[in-house]
Order: sequence, then C-alpha cells, then structure tokens
Amino acid sequence: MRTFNSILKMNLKKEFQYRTAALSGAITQLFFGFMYIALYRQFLVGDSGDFSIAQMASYIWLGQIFFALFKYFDVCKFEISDKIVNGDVGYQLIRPMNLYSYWYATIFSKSLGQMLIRGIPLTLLVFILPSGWNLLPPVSFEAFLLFLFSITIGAFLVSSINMISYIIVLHTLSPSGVFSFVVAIAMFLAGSIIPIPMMPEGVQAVLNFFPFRYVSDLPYRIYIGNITGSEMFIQLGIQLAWLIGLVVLGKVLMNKKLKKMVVQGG
Amino acid sequence: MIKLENISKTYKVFCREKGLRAAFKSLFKRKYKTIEALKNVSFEVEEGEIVGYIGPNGAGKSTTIKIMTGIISPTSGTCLINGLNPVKDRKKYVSQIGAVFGQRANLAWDVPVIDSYELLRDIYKIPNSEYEKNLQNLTEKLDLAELLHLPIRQMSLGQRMRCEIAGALLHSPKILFLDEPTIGLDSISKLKVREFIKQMNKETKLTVILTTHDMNDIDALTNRIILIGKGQKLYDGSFEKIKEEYSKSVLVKVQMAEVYDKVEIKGYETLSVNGIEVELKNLPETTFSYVKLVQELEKKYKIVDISTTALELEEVIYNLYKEYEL
Repeated sequence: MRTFNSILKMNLKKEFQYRTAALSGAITQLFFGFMYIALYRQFLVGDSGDFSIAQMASYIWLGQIFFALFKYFDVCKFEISDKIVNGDVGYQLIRPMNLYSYWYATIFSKSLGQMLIRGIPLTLLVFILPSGWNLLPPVSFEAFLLFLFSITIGAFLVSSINMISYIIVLHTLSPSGVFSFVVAIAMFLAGSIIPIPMMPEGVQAVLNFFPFRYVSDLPYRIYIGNITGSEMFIQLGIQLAWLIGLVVLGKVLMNKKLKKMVVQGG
Repeated sequence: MIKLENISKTYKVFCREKGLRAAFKSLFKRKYKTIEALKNVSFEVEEGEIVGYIGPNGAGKSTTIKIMTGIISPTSGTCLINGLNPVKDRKKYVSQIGAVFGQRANLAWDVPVIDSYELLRDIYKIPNSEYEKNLQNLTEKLDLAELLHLPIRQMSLGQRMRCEIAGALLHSPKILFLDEPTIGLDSISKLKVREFIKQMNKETKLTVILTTHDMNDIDALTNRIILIGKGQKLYDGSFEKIKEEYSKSVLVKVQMAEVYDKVEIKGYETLSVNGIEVELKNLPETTFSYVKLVQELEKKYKIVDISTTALELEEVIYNLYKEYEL
C-alpha cells in the first residue's frame, strides 16, 4: 500500500508539471464536447424517450471530464511500452516488487493525474454553460455516492484492461500494432464516441457482453439517473465481477509470460 | 557467496532468410535455430571480492549477469547466490543485490532524482533512518548534492551514471552488478566512478561483479578477471599474470647515427627503417633485455638513442582474444 501511494504520488507529480499539455488537453476536450452535443442534439430533437437532451449533454461532458482517466491501451508509453521494447524492463524485474502491481499502479495513477489536471477546471466551466448545453448536478445525493463508487471501480477496471494489453506487448514487443487498431473499437464499445443510450437496443445488448461498457458508461448513467434501482445494483455487480476477473486473468498471463521471458541485447 | 555451476543457456531464435519470398514463407512456417549463449560456465566469488568479467561483444557477459540477477533462468546448471536461487527466491534475493546496466535507465526520466529515490525507498521498504544515512553517504561520495533536484533528462551522461549507481546502493545491497558502468563516460567521470566503487568495496565489503571493455577499469579496481568467449569460460585468475604474459613483446625505437639500408638483430624483428629511425620488436622466443640489445646493436651499428614502450593495455587484451580465437 505504501508502494502504491508512492507510485501514485510520483505520477501525480509528473503529470502536474505538464501544464501546457493539460491546458491544450482541456481545450480539446471542450471543443469535442461542444461538437458532440451540437451533433447529438439534432438526433434528439422532439424525442421524449428516456434520454433527454439535458441528460445527453451531461453524459457528453462527463465523458470529456473523465476522458484521460478512461483512455485505452498505450497510456504509459514512456513508463511501460518503451521500457519493454528497449529492455529497461529488466531493471523493474530486479526490484523486490510484483511487476503486475507496479504497472497497474503506474497506469492507474498516470491516468488519474492526467484526468485531475484537465478535468477539474473543465468541470467548473461546463457547470455554468447555458441550460441544454451544460453539465447538470447529479440526480440525487445517493446517485452521486454510487456514481463515485462506480467511477472508482471503472478506473480500476480500465487499468486492468490496459494491463492485459501490455502483457500482449511483452509477447509481441511491438506496441503500435496492438494499440492503433483496438483503441477505436474499445472507445466505441465503451460509448465514448456515441453515447450508449442512443444506440439501437440490439447493439446495446451486444455491448453488455464486453467489459468496456462498465468502465465509464455505467457511472455516467448513474449520475444522470438513466440507470436506477435494482437494474443499477445488478450492473454494479457485473462491473465488480469484470474487475476481479480481469485482474486474475492478467496476473495469470503475466506470471506465465515472465517465466519464459528473455531480455534481449547486451 | 556467489556460486555458479555448469550454467548453460540456449536461446531459440527465429531464422530470417533474405528476400521477400522467404519472408512470405516464414509467415506460415518458421525455422528456428538454437544459439548456445553459455556453455557450462562455473565460477565462485567470495564476499568482498571485485571481479572483472570480460570478453568481446556477444561473448555471454550480459547473459551471465541476467542469470545472476534473476532476470532469466539458465537452461541448465545451478546458480546459488548467498544461498538463494535468483529466480525461485526472486523477491527475497533481489533486495540483497543492486545492479547498474550502463546502457539502460532505472531512474525516472522526467522527475527529480530524489523522487525516484523515494520511490525506491518504498519499493525496497528501506527503514527511514537507513535511507537517510545511505543517501547522505552516497550524496557525499558521488558528489550528488546539486543533482538531486534535477531530472535525469537534464543531466550529462556522467552525472546520470553517478545517480544510477547511488540508486542501486540505497538499500545497502551485499552484491553490486555493474554492466559496463563506464561506457561512454569521460575520463573524469570514469575516475570518480572507479574510486567510488573501490571505496565502497573497502568500507562495506561490497562484492562487485563488473563487466567492461575498458581495461583501465579492471586495472584500477581488481586483480581477478574471468575471461569469457563464445559462451565459455576461458580464464579465471590474476590480471597481472595475463598482463605479464601478453606484454612480453616490447617495441624498441632506435635512433641511429647514420642511415642504414637494412637493420638486422638476432632475436628481433625489424618493423621499419625510416632514415635514422628504426623500430624493432622482440620475437616471441626472445626475452627482452636492454643491455643485451644495446650490445648487439653496437656490434653492428652506430646508435645515438634507444627507447622502449611496453604494449598498451588494450593491446594485451587484443592479443589475449586473438590467442583464444575470439
């Protein structure tokens, strides 16, 4: 736990020194938020379904605020994939620590750091936008607490998904091939491109079979009150199950891989 | 303390053939060939020793270091260090060793070194008092005071290497592995690093295994070398002896009083005759003797001056590699 804190502290510190990157990131997020809202408003005009324009705007803004927290795959280029490719990973193997936990903590804390520095100013800004374009407060205090719980699990869940991708890199030694292709698919499956409540029911049913939906879509919908009651608790259970399952799978794969690993070059 | 017995390591490598057609074929059927990186290597190292582990590129030095640090497991043979198996008892073992790989980076690239050290403190679970003591000691000896608050990326190579070495010693390891620690360093940094290693070895009985291509490192630090080539141990023993053996040939420069077309001395090879400057080298069977050579020379020629140069250290090693056909 002390090690986890220390890794967290170090990565937050690292991220907080990149102010320009954060500012430009926040501006990009703002731009994308407006673009998505403007686009999806057209689809929702006159629609009295269970996903209103106001809810959609909040959903989009949550997506933009937490964008950096829910990035898929190569989130730790310097810290992990470069080190796998150039062999620095050898150093990490001669430390008295579990490589899975170390990488996991690195991925988690780096995403969290990037999110905090962009997300906090963005949150303050999008709250005060005109109605229909702004981020609404959570539907209830209870929903807010459950949202916090769920988004935390979501952050751990996305880290465990990303861990598996790095274990694949340990095998292939080529990050670009693994990542460029799957990122777009993962973002679609997670609802980061089209909000999942706006998708046809058949598609939604399919997405339920993947872990991506439970990363961010679930907490956002709890926040806006789109998923409530027993349905919500069932989904929170599934979210937790995915997290445990993927962590176990990652650890097993990693141990298997490390047994056969060869650090190349002199 | 360190005991390697009949260590062998083979790698399976994917055989690439030239040409597009072969590349296409290899998509379906791959040929592998096995490479023997190490063949039955055995040696022992006592506590407090400094051992120079030398050999040409590709000899298997790094592979041995990787086996000793527990990064890879040997194909056969046993490696027991301080009673532990580096791979099986990895967690317990690695907290007793430190390693610096000259061509790899351990410390974080973009945060101040002191933050990386604190992370190491937490990973190795170093008690605070011990950490403070070691940090102070290392800062003093390696002259790090001004570097601690800089990130690695703003440092010169020599500064970086000093920080890396300090990072490897924060947890007071018993054994330090140095894989080409002076590669690319200028002479001042090299001297500093050498002096520091010597000092630590004396003060804390630190066992040091060192690989290097710079024979001056070896000369300054240790008298025991292990020579490895093509995966096999070729020599284990005194460096002095090797030096003596291979620096028997002596280069002699003679200045003549007048120009001779041909200079011939029994037992010597004439390398060049350039006006009045003549270069000679003793043949392998001749033991060089200054007095005898002068006598021989004066019998046939008029000489003004004579000077000798012993072979450079690098040449000694070159001759050594040549002898073992490396």
